[in-house]
Amino acid sequence: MDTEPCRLYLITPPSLDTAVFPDVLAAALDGGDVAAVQLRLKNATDDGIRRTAEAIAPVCSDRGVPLIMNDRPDLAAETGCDGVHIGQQDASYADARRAVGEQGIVGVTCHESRHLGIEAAEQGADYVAFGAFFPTATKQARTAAEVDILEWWSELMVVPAVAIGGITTENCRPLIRAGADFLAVVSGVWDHPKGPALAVRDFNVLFAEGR
Amino acid sequence: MPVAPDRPIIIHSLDEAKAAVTVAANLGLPITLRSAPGAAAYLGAQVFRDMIAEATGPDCAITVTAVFDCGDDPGLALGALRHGLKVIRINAPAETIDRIADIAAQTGARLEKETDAPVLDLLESDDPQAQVRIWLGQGD
Repeated sequence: MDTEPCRLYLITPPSLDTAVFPDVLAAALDGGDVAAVQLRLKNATDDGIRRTAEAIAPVCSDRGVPLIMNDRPDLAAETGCDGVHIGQQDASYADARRAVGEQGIVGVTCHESRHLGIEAAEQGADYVAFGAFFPTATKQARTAAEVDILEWWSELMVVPAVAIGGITTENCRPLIRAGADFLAVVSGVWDHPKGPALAVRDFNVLFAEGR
Repeated sequence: MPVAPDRPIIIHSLDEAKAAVTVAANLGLPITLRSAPGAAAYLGAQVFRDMIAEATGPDCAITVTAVFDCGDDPGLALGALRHGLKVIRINAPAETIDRIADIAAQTGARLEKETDAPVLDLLESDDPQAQVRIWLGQGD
């Protein structure tokens, strides 16, 4: 079982205002430890993604937080992101690695599949992401992952596991206990009733409680 | 299909807003589109307003109510009113809410009360149109 504390992997809101979001992100990152930020904009143009990456890159780098581009190795390389996260329908691992280089971070979505996880790890992924663990109240997730995949992974594998999908401060304890190295969170931070900064703080309080 | 007078939908992107409006228009139902909780902090009133305007277009035949969630920041609520948003949500002490409600009324806007009523959240939906169709069809 992993003895390192779990950490927060913060994913951007699906839509945002580039003029105001950098300050909001800065406040969130100042709320507590964040291992990485993933830029994931739904339906944004390439220019919109570029502009946002350029706007938030200094916020992340000033705090020593890696910025990971979702889905797009080409834009990750172009905008100088620290890494790229790819899904099973996106670019190949080889393309992603080529784009960000050996020192870059490449993460791979593996849904609920042990097989996909092993495959990604063998290829050289820096982390694998399992989920979704918690569908929202009114939505069925694309895949439904069981917590035991995290236990199985953390006992057998060295490559870190990211848990994703509907994670909040209210429901994350089983994932921490099961050995998730990182919790990838979107609305659990941005939509938190106390605001993003306090959400980050609260996640870190839970991480500090241990597994 | 039964009419759904109050089946709010949380949208996070233009595509989700378009999907919701398209389905509601096909069903001939009014629709309430709500931003994510506290979205005023990172989305911005102008972006939300433009998103709704583009989703509805000039020829929209149904009533679309757009609700902008300002979290607990009265400043964001006032900013949203300045940007012409007509329905906002704000979590604040009663006295503050009364003041903002008064300002809102002067601009033809209103505050939406916080309720525990169910809401459809389209975050990361694979098929928002299908979800909206089911959601609106469940109205009483």
